Amino acid sequence: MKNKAAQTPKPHVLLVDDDVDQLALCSRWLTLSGYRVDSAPGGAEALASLERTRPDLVVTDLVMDGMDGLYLLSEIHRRDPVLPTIIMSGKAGVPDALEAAHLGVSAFLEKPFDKTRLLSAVGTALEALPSTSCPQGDLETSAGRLVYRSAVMQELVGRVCRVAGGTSTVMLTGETGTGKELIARAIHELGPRRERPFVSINCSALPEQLLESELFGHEKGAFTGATSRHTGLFQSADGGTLFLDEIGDMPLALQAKVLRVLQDFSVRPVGGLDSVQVDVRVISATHQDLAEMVEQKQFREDLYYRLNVVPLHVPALRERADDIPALLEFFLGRLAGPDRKAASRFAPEARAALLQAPFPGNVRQLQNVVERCVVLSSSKVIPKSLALEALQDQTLGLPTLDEARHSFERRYIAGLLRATKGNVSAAAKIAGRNRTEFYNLLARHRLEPESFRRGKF
Amino acid sequence: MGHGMPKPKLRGWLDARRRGTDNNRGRTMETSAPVVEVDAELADLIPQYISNRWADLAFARQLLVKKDFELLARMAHRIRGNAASYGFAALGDISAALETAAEQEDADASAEALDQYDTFLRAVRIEYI
Repeated sequence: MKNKAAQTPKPHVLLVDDDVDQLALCSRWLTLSGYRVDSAPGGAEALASLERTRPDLVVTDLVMDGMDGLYLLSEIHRRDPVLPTIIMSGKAGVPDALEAAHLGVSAFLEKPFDKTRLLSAVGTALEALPSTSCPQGDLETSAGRLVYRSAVMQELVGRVCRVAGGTSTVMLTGETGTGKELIARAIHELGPRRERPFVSINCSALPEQLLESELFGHEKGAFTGATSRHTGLFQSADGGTLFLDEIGDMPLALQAKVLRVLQDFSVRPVGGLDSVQVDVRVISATHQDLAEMVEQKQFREDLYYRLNVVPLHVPALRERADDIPALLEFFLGRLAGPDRKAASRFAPEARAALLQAPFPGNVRQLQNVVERCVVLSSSKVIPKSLALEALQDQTLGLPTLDEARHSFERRYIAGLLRATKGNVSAAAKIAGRNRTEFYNLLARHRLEPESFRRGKF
Repeated sequence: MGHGMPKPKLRGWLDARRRGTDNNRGRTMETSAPVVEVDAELADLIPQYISNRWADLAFARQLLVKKDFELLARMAHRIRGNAASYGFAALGDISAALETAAEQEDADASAEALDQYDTFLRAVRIEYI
């Protein structure tokens, strides 16, 4: 090992432990084995070190005064999603290899450990570094092309490429219309799971029971209407990636079940007796502030940390305004068609107006505006007046009054049931409705008081 | 080459102490100090390690007086984690007993574990290999 180290650059390890004796011992073992070692006596010092230098591996204690290892881990992944990490822990019952992989951890070392065990884990972690090669130019995915020129998007795409090679659970945040699903597909298709399924579900689109059945599957006769066996999406995505869009809208009772899957990677269909092992990389996305929802007890903290192993923020269009010209050209070129009969360019004033528009609906809104311009234009050159009209006509994806009313009503009733722990009489009284009326509301929104009585919500 | 993990012959040292006899030879503990084999490459770390354990012992006795069992358990947990890696398996065992006693807020058991800890530190002989 020493000879090999003399010929090749020494791998750089950052050691983190608030136990100075453990720190000194591991540092000695690694240094004697040819590694370059930086030691940090706590999480804050480790983060300060990471500001200055990028190690090849971080080995950190799990339980530390001040900043514990899991928090440090999330901070490390926020800065560098694929920096390999090893967790040392004095606690029994450390997670298994599969769980560690999804947490973005190469190995768990239970204390006390010996030199051989440490060197073996470090060697394996460094060998397992995923490929960081990234295609040049725009990212092509099966769901569309990710067009970008801006520095902020270049950085994001760089992170996407780096994270694609691993198994870590990824959380995509960003406003509606920023392209989170495109990013999720890029992660899947750039990584080793590309030949396996990419399965996507919008957690806000289905009522609770249906969402549960979709995710976990059900046996025949599991509930009224379950006339045949149904394979859940976790199983359908086995070996591949499951994309949970709008995860912030997932009901609390279901959150607990998803947490269990992420803990032991086995799924039990509704009404089934046996669990089935699954190997699924989970990517979730939300436009909501999940940390705030955790504070408000609307989202489980333990699930939040499980999902947020590698957080990636997809910037709003206003944060990547440099990309608007390229996006305009891309959408226009795609819509103009091969015969170029449709409008194929914007008049300079029209283009200038679009470059200055705010686009609160992000790329999706920009795409809609271009589509509208192309459809309505009677000439090959789109005039400013038409561009302004298209901008004005955009509804920004706002719901209709009925949709908005329905959505509010559902959230309001769910909030009542949460507050009353599923007590229908109490909830109805607060709502100013009698029990019959309230039950009708529950049925309309497919809300079950029982699910608010279970668990600790 | 050894790797600093507990040597089997030290495993029973604690039991032998409780019996008041040496593990193998039946002699009294006063004539039989525990021998710890430590990699020579760690030799310069050992004096500091032992010094830190003496400091821990003094602090642990204060914690016991103040009945700060939470901090006592955490201290014991830390020593349990590092002692065997340095080669002091018996000290790791004593610390595990101390951690359990502190978690149960058992002052008598904690005091007994600290006495064993004290005895071990006084008696231990280190051989570098």
